[in-house]
Amino acid sequence: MRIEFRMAWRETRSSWKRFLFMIGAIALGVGALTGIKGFSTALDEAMSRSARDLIASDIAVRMNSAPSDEESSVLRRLVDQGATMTRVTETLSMASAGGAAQPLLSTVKAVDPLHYPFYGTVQLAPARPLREALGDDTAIVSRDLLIRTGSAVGQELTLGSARFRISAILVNEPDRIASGVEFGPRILITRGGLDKSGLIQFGSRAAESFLYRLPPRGLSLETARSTLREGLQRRVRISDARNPNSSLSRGLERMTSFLSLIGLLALLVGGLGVAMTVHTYLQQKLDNIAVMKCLGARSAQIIRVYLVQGMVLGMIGSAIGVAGGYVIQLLFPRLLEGLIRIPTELEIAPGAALQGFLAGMVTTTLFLLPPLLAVRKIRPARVFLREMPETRYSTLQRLRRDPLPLISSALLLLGAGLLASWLGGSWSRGFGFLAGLAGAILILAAGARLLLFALGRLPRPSSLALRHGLKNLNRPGNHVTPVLVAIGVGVAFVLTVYLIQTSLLSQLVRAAPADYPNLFLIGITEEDKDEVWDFVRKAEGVLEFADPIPMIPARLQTIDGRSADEMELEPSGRRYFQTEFILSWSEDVPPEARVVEGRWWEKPSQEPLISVGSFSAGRLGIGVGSALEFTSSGVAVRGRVANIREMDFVRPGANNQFIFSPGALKGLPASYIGSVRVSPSQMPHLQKALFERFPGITSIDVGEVLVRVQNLLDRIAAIIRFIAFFAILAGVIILASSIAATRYQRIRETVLLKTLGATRAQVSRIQAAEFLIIGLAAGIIGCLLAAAAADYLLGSLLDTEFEFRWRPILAGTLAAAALVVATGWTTSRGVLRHRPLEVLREN
Amino acid sequence: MIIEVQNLTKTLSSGSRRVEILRGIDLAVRRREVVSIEGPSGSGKSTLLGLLAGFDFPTSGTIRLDGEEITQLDEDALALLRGRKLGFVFQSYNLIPTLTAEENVMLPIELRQDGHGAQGRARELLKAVGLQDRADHYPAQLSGGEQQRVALARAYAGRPSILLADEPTGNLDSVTGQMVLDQLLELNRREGTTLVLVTHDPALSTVADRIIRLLDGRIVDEIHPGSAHPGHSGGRSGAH
Repeated sequence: MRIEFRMAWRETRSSWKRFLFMIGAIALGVGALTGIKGFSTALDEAMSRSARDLIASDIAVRMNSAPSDEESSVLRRLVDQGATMTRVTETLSMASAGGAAQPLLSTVKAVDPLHYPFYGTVQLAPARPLREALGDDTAIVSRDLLIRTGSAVGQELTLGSARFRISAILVNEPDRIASGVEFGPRILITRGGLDKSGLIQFGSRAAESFLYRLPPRGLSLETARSTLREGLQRRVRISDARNPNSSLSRGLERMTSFLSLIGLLALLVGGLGVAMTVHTYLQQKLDNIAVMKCLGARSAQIIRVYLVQGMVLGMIGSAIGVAGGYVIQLLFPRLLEGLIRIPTELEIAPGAALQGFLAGMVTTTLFLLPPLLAVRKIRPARVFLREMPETRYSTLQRLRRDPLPLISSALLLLGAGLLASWLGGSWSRGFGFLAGLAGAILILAAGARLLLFALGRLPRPSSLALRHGLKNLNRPGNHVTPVLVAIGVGVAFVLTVYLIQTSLLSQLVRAAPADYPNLFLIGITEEDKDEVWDFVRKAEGVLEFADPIPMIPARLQTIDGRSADEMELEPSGRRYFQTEFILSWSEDVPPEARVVEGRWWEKPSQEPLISVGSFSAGRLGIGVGSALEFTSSGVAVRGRVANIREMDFVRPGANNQFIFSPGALKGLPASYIGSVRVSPSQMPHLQKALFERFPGITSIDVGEVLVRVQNLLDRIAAIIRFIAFFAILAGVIILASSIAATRYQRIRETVLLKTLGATRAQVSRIQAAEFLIIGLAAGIIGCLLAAAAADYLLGSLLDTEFEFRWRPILAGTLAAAALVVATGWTTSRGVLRHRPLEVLREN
Repeated sequence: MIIEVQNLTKTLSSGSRRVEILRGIDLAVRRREVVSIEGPSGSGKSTLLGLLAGFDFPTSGTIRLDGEEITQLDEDALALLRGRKLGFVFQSYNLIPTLTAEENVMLPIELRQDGHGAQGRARELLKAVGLQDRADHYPAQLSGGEQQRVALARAYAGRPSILLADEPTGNLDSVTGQMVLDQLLELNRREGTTLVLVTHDPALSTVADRIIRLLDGRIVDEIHPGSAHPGHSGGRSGAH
């Protein structure tokens, strides 16, 4: 093997510059991959390192409404076994501070400062212990509340029907990561303060958490967990120090495995660069290889030389990528800002670095093999018998004579699939990704061939630049197909993400058109209902309002007399029995809903009837005539399904899955939700007036929510684009490498053209025409591919429609063309400078 | 006999055209003999030499090198055989441009797995061709004559028993050509090698033990410059 290493070194020594592209292509892919993996591993490690702090307890239960008596007794069981428990309530509410300021939708968290937090500390500014700063009359608020209301510490805060003095600024809570996506500024008050505010009424939506500190002996984490898991029948989130936030971890894992696959895309495009560089390199080494064979070298020996060379270069690229990946890892928390709370101290993860490095090496090797196998075909006779014609065989004959190229291609696909499965965390995801990518590559490659074919048959263009530019596409070693594939895949990916993002947004905007309600009132009590409505009716700027919709929390018990245990249900259906639903009633078909099966009730019937959303009906196997039984506040509610309904828009009240006929829910305690259309200019005044009169009611401005959702989508898309950008960069490197490989030829052509009287400007135009054609083709095919992918993904996965729009497609195509022209210009810089004599003399 | 060729033919087909390049060559070469193959362009000289080196496969006929039949060997076995027994000098030098002169000479030895003493041998041979001071130079830094002398050194590096040379002075001016020729013969004498060369150069022919003339793929004449009597076509070897 020593000769192979020596030879590889000698080969690289003289031509290392041309391998920079190959190193760059691999480094980019490995960098993207290592960055993502490193970040997720580091985050995982940070979370398990400070797991107890992240849940502020040994074990915590979170549920989306107050526990029933039965559930409370389960929760108390741990206390009886020696654990300490504290309750934390989180809800949304309007709050105002500093006197006359506009109320703000805020997240309110009520804790017992004597116990909370069991672990970690609540950071305040100025720094002081929580139990000193927080009493029943004081509130601690996040800085953005002070900024947005123009208030300061020491001033008054109105929350519900109570007033608090702002005693400190809330910098961080240890268990903040458990809160998920935040809504508005944060306010911390005591449980006494919460009671005083009257914010929690019947039917209020509030997240209740029960935090436990376990005794040093006697009650193990496992026992505590199984006590809670078995005792609490409904869906609750149980987090413990070993698994601090399972839903967050799962979400992160899903996101990072998705991003890893995009990183892999960059790496595979880089791999294409490896194959292309090596192919071009070997093409220029044909004579040397033939001479080596004349001197007694066997094919296997020569393949080993170039394999060693390629792998060493791959190793360098992978190592640079790992280093670059660390920088990307550092950038990640910034990208995720506002999406999730990231622990501040993230350490470098050696496991991820190794994973990225190995992925780089595997990719390099897989892509090296196909071009290297061609070495076997080089005959020593070519050195001095150039005119000797080669026997031509059909593809099938070639494969029969030599199946190795087929085997190596299969190996490449299998290897890439295994790599994708490894990084994506599942076989189906990995091979699904590969199948999609292979499809995209096939389409792009076929598009490239078709383009060359069609261009060759075009009538001679009258423009000299265009004529020569077209001819140049067929220059030997120009690699139009791989360049188109590499750039096209990147463009397709970035644009797919963009199209999905904008389609979802326009869907959202359509869900709230101008003549729809733009203000929702939540938490209206039975007593306040009429008064609130009277108030709204008379308020200035109110254009439209509907009767408030009742909301009754209830749980599904049986379908046709059978409980969940007696039915054969998918897990998604089973979950219906563990979740609290909101029941409602209505006389008429809600707006934006249409009955697809059965009939709507025409007048109040004696028998309680139910309209069921088609989604739930499908999951639960419910049809017209099914008998359903719910319990609400300990009372059983029964009814027969009268119809199945489909809903087009997301709108409170309209999308309740179970709507009863009027009178069926009579006597059950309910809260109401109201929807109002108010002229935008009057919105702040109405919100303020409502808050002053009914401080317990939360008013949600739809516009504000849309802006938040849009921000969220923008951020997610930005992260995906950031990683997908690496795939485009790898494509650019491939293009640059292809141009660099033909540089000498380009110089000679330029010089010849100049000798024949071409000006610099003419030669520049010829070059620009060539790059422009490649760029436009890559752009067009990539963009159409993106439109097809977006259509498929939106339709099959998200069940929404894709609207084809020309503008992003056109912009994407032009951007791709501009990128290719810019890369072409930069790489072939200096080609124009050469003087004819110095070049022609060399030959 | 170190080389025995029997009824060797080579036909190439290009589309519907068939070209007979060699039409039944019989040839035998004794150990340490110097044989020159001459003939006009297209007579099949280089093809014959290439077939002797195992660079390509004949259409029919047999070739034995040192008693070993080579026409049935596969590519790799041929490569191994070349490494063991054959040296080759090309008209256009064919040095590997990325290797220094010394590394070029070392290569045949290194390609055998026993690459010991490659550097010593390379230095010795470079000294023999007067290029010991140019060992670290790359081919592009050497003149044509110097490159061909490095190629000579490379050809002898693996201590071949047979050296095949295709117009070794063809690309050189007459003075340099003479110098290269002298060195070739000197090395050949010193190493005790059998030398078969293809040439147009009359100077080369004069130093051969035997001259074989080729025309249209056939041996038409055999001359033994040492004796006054030319041989006859169809040239059975060793006839002297």
